[in-house]
Amino acid sequence: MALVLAGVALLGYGVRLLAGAARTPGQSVALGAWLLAGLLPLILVLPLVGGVGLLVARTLPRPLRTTAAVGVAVSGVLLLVAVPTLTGPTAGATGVEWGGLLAFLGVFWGLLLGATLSRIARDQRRGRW
Amino acid sequence: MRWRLPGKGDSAAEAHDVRVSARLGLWLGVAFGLCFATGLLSHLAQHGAWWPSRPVQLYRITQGVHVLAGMAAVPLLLAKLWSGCPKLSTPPAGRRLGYVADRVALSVLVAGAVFTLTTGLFGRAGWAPWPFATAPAHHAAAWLTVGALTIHLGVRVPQIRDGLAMPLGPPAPERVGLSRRDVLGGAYLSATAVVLATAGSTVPALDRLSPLGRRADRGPQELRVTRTASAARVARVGPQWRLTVQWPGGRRELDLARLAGLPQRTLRLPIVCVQGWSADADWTGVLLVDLLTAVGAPVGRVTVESLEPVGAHRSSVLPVGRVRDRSTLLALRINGAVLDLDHGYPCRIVSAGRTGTGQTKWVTALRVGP
Repeated sequence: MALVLAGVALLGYGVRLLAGAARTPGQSVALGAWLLAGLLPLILVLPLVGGVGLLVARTLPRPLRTTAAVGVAVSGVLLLVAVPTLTGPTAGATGVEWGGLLAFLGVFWGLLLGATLSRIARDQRRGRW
Repeated sequence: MRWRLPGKGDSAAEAHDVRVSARLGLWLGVAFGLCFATGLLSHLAQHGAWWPSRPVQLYRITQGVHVLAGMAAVPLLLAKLWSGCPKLSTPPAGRRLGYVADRVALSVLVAGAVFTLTTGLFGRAGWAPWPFATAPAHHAAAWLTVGALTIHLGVRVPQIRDGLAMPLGPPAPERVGLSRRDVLGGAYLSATAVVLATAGSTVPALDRLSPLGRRADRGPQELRVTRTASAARVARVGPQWRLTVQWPGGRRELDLARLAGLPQRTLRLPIVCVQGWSADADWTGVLLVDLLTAVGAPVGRVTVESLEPVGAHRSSVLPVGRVRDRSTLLALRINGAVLDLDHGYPCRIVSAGRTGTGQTKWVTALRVGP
């Protein structure tokens, strides 16, 4: 109960600060809309994750499913956090470029596939596959 | 095949198991806790009257942790939402009022967390695709999120405790999708990859390895610039430029030659941007306290004014302790060369442990208060 009350107090202070963060009615509407848009991952991203998971489960043999799912998750998250820097108004002036990100992902996928193949080979030697 | 959302007790859906949700929530809580604490410190450093000048690298560390913890929170939040989403459709188990309060707090938590991370990501890129100011909205949403998180913890403590106490156990042979260990491993690996990919902005050793690290040496005189002269609407400064030092009962004007003729000091100090990048440079100039003494001004609180015509960064205030500090320079040179216009030519404030926004560039006046 103490945590709930403390949470309500913090929440109230946040609402007060939020009210002060918008200086015009237009800004208030935009702020409210962007906050509500925070619920979009529940509607858009999560079904997408589920869909990709289903595709992976249907098309790949079990030993490769984890590799594919983890690889897609890491690549997707890296691309997601890179979007503002790589497509924003300062793109090109920051030293952050698509080439570097793709090279990073290439090394990551190489290591991931290498680890998977070595695990499959080990399991084969032990007669598990 | 019949579609259904996996729920509690469904052994086939290990990603949605409470053991996974609780562990992801724990690490997400750690990431948000670090973000919130270091965010408050950054707020204090920018708007408070006091921030220590020693250790010199303190703000660089706290702001670096802030950005990296925020980056790690992105995959952890997505994984946590994926893990917990079936429970959102679970009918109320207790009193209806408690159920409604929990769902409202959860909605605020999700919306606030996504908004805070989104504004942080865009702020780091120097991009504001919305009409409101990013920093105050980011700050307010962080309080909102922490409040909703505290309510969520208060309501869900028993389930969280149970989830953390239960061992992960072996994967069920009939499971659908990834095992509990695979889901957690994937989330932790994603968080590690994002941190590694970004850390170069703050950790010089990782500069070349981090594809998303904003290169600190990319800019004029091999030092990054967040706010350029053209963005600040400052045109080339001519020979008619004078520095005005004003205090109650007195006023002096100095030209650049007179400033350069005063005793110069060179200090190696970091520039730390709130966007998360930081870099050291050798700054040469006049110690502010020596300058005030040389012109006969008293040592007091100083308001620094810039040639920047408008905006939040056109002036800053240096408390008296900061003015007396012998690491506060009115810098004229960087790494031995005259300041580039983008670095604040003809002179700028550089002071240890001060945020980049407080290192006022294109200084035109120093007004000494009591």
